[in-house]
Amino acid sequence: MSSLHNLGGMQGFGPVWTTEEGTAFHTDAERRVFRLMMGLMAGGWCDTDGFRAAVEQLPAQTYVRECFPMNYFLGMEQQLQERGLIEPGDLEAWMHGTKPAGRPTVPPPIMADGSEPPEPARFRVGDRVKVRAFDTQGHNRLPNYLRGQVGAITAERGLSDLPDALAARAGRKPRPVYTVEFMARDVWGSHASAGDRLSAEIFQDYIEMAVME
Amino acid sequence: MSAEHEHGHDHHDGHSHAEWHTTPPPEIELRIKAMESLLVEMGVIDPAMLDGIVDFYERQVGPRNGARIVARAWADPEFKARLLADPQGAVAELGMPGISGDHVVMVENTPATHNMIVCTLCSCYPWQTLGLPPVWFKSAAYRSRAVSHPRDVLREFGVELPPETAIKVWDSTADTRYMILPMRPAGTDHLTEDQLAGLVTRDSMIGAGLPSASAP
Repeated sequence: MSSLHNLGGMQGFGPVWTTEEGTAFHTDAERRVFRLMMGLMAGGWCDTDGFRAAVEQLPAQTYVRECFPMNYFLGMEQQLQERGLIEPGDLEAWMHGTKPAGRPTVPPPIMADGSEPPEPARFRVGDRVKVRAFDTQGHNRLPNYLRGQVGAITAERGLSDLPDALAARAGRKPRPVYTVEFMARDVWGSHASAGDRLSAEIFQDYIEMAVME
Repeated sequence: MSAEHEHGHDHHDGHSHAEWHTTPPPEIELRIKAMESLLVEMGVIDPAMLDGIVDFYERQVGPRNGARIVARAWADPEFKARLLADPQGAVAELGMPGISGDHVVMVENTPATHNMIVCTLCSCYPWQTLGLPPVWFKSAAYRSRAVSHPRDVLREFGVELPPETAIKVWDSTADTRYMILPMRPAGTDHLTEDQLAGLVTRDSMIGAGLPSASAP
């Protein structure tokens, strides 16, 4: 299962376009939403994984409009509703001068304190690994185009909490992360140039040792 | 979102693209403003602190910081060696805002290999050295085809690589943030470090472009 955000290898979005250098924000809305996000992240009301999951779960026809401040705002609003800070109808009421009452003043905990012990590293640089075709309904950080592909580990990147579990509020699960390199022709077929390569950071949960043929 | 569904902007006009992708429908714009004023009223966010954060990203970090790093690496081989081995430590030498937090890795372009960065899942980007990601870096057009058709994408950016140069695309899917160290253009031996920094474009540090060939 996948959402539209998992874009690698799709087509139909037209040629790339660029922007001039030197402008951090193009519109007032873009600046406002960035400010809000920074404040809510700093205050503990929003978190990266929950926010990403919320944006990924937007209806595809909203996401595909690619209005980035809108998508981020809607993801942020969803998070604030989950945390009990904002309820449906609050913004309309506030536009008419009524401030919501009885809301938390500090963010409620997202999940239980503490962490699972770190999972030991099962792979090393040079290992050939296969990306598992596991079925996941929720947030994860595995590009679809790499499912089932075989690549080689080129770097160990230490431990990170598994984003799938963070987004599902299932606790902190520190896992080894590896940089894995793939040959573009293995992934895309003969249209790719022979020497071209792809590289991605992959959580240990997403890979298994490749069986030598 | 009704009338705004017309995505009818000119594909060669970066300005209108940027406006389109950062202008919400009016009803969303109103909700953004209402959310902001409500959260200030509730004491959830502090406008003065937020102004400071915005100022930091508008004025203190950005691609000119990355350009200074690249120019120093071009001018000073020992700095370059330190930069490739320990980006955090080397960047701290330049007295720019630190790059703690996400792990930054420098990737060097060579005649044999051209490197490109993408985040196919969202918009992960080396904020600490290049500032906030450009709008096109978040776009579906770039994220979808940078991995599958990198040569076509580079051509659309106006870059034609020799066929013998292999391309390596780095998809930023976890906590590592990549920045490209582009190749120093030929014929620039006489330039000062400041002049070299002027050749380093933002896109060249993403791998979507090359440095300018001559001083601006």
